[in-house]
Amino acid sequence: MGAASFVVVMCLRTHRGHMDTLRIIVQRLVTIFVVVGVATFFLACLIRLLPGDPASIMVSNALPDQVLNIRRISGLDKNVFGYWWQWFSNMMTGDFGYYYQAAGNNPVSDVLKRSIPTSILMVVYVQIVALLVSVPLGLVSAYKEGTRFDRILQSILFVLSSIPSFALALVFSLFFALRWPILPPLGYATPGENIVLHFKYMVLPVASLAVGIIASYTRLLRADVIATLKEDYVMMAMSKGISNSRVLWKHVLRPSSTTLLTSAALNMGSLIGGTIVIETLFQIPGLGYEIAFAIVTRQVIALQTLIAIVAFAYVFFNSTVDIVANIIDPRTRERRA
Amino acid sequence: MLNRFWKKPLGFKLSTVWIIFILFLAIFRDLLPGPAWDESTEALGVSPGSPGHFFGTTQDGFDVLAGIINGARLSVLVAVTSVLIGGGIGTFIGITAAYFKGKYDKVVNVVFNMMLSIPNLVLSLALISVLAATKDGIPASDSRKVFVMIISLIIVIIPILGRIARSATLQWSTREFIIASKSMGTKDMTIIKKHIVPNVAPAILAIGFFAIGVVIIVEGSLSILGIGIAGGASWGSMLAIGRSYLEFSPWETYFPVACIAFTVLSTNYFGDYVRANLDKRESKI
Amino acid sequence: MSPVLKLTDLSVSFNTPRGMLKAVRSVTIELNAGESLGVVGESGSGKTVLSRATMGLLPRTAVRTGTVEYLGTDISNYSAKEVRDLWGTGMAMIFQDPMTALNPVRRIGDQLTESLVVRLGMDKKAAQEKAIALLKRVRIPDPDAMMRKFPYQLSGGMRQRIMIAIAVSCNPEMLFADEPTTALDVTVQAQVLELLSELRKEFNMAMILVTHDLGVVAGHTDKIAVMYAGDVVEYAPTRQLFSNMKMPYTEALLKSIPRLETPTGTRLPVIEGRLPDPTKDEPGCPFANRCPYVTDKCRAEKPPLTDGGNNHFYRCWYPIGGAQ
Repeated sequence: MGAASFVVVMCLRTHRGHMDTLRIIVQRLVTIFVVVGVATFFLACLIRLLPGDPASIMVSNALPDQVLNIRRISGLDKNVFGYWWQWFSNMMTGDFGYYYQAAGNNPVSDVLKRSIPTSILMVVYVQIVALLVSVPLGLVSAYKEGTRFDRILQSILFVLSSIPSFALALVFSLFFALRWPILPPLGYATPGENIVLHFKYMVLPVASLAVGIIASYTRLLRADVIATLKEDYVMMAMSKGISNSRVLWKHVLRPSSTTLLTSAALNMGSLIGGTIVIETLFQIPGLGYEIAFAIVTRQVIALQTLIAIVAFAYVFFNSTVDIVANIIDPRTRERRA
Repeated sequence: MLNRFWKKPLGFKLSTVWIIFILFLAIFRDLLPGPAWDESTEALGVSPGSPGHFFGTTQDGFDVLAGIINGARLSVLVAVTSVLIGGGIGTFIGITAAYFKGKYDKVVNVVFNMMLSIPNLVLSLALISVLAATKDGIPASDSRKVFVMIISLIIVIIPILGRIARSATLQWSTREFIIASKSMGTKDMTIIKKHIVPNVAPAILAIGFFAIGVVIIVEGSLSILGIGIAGGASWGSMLAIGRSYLEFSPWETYFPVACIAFTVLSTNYFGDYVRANLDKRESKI
Repeated sequence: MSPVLKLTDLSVSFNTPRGMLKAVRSVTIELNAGESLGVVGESGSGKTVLSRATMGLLPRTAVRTGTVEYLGTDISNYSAKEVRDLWGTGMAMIFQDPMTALNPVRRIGDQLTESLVVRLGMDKKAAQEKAIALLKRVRIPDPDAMMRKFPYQLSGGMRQRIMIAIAVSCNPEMLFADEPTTALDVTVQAQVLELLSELRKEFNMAMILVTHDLGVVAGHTDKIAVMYAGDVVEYAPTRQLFSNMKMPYTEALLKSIPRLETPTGTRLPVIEGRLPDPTKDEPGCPFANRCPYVTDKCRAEKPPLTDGGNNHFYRCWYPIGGAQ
């Protein structure tokens, strides 16, 4: 995932040209729709390649006329392109398809109303926690580059960045939910239902996801801060006689944070996909959990919609990421003008 | 050679030892003493250190150590085959696309972009759920699942390594010695073999090591989601079963989790190591 | 009254993989309030390190020996915090390249008011007013608009004026200007130098002007120290130095400055050869290999700093015009 986001960043950098804002926005939107469209068409082809009839797989023991009905509603009676186009154009008008069940069809939008906010909340918490921890760590370890503190921290971070989040989730839940039951082992409450319970449920999943991200963010920021510390304007700031921490926070952090925030923005999309396992382990009804559920229950239409939403989020953040860079670093505004 | 090995950093030594250990388990599984991994014993949920069951047993009476040894074989099989084949295909496509450019390159670029726009776990989930499906909805056999998993992971790996190969080749193909070689009428395939491949190989090798880690994590994740290999035949599958008994026999979960973590750590270390040396080499040029 | 700055046997070395790099070798210099000293030498001569070492702005790999006295107090053993308290309010620095020495992501106003608020404890509004007054003083047109601009929107000359404004904002006793005009256009150079001289008189600051260009220091300094390979090789009042040059190296430096009266097409004399390896301690005069008047004695023995009278010091066995 890291490699992929790196490539995307490099790709976007080379695309900066002399374009006005409107053209950039239009171009971005077109890119997003083309990529999501092609990706879902690819998925539609896969679904049609399924051995057997997707309609009868979705609903086991369905009656023949029920299957026919499902095929008609979902467009599975058309060819691949027709099927895909019906689904895609329905998406544009807010019809996200159905979970087809013997007892009746449930709209996917009902599930989305609950799972999208849940996933967004979780991803936002992970980002906040990760940035709050990694920014001071990155600044300090860069400032103390080469010291024993820095070397030990780098080794620890390398180990943490390599441990899969599900491994941490299992360790955390054993210790903090089973051995010393200070937190609930699984489940979810929305902030509207019970705000305290909501945060209690969120602690373990967010911590499991955040640890690896903290490690990678800290390493990214450290590298950039080390480069910034060699800049003349840092020595200039020091020569004003202000405290080291003020120099680091006010003068060094912002010019060093482009890469960090770029990759944080890139992470927004991939995190939604990456939460699948964690949401399943902790039984949190977010997008990832719903994707896994749709796969296990073979709800192909719902699956297609859910994956499209994740892909959309991912592509959206990937293609708007340089706007973030723009806000942090005014120099890029000049380059474009 | 051994002398040079001892001079390497500690992380390098530990990673090498661990990888050799895992490879050893994978290759000599059948020659090692101890109970078979799929043979249930009378001892249910015995804690580690017990006689005959060094890592303890599961709640169903399977020996954990035997499971770990067996799981090593599957992890190595899945990781090595998918990264080698997927990496090979991806590298070939990436290098040729960047070298020949034109429409072929544009198509390759768009396809890679699109595949990378779906998070790799989601992509492999979708692929496996489609490929492993049978006509009547009966779950596929384990050997078929392994095969399907490898195919899906190959598809996941292709764009990851393909993109790296493509961008590395783009950088190298404009260097003077390649242009000079071209102008002397050297065949394209010869240039690729002699000049491009040796130069882009380290970058691909580094990402290849990371890809092994990705594959092992995806395998574990799929098992947890209930669509990977079942029945405790892989590390992921062991912990997927064990996590229901986390409170009673945590060792069922710990040992496979530790194996996954150490293996990913080791391959990531190698990836980092290759990349760091690559940067050093680049800066010398 | 004690001098603003007194350096005694100041030496600076850097710990490098190739060994100890001697950047400044036992330099002794004195500077009074309102006085201005030019430190001249080619790149690598140690002039920049000298000014940074005086302030204490050195990387961790540097080793400094000798004493630095500021207003009669020895500050060479000050803690990092004590030294920092002198920066900005006691000693301030203007950096060489105005393109890189201003923070690219912060507005001019923020950078200018920072010291006023943090060091002098002014409130935001007062700092704002003072900053605008400072911008006016350094002759920036439309100072109100300037406060909201980013450095990339300004020319080099403008940026250098802003740096000067930042440096003098806390009324320092001592100003270090490290090649303040090197990165600027020739026409702007003169204006910036003029501005520095004016401000020095106005605030009664002592100033060290570091440059590779003898022409720059001629009209703007009271005395000059010429540095070569870490040594001060000639040290004299400006007038004295130009009228009665003793060092062959100083002479060579002067000859390498382009002049208006030189006919076009003439080749400027360059100083052939390179500086000696600063990690090695070779016997003899470090300039011997490049000196037109070199003798065997020069190659064998390093000349000491000789007092030539009239506050004129030089480091040569065979000074131009003979020893006095």
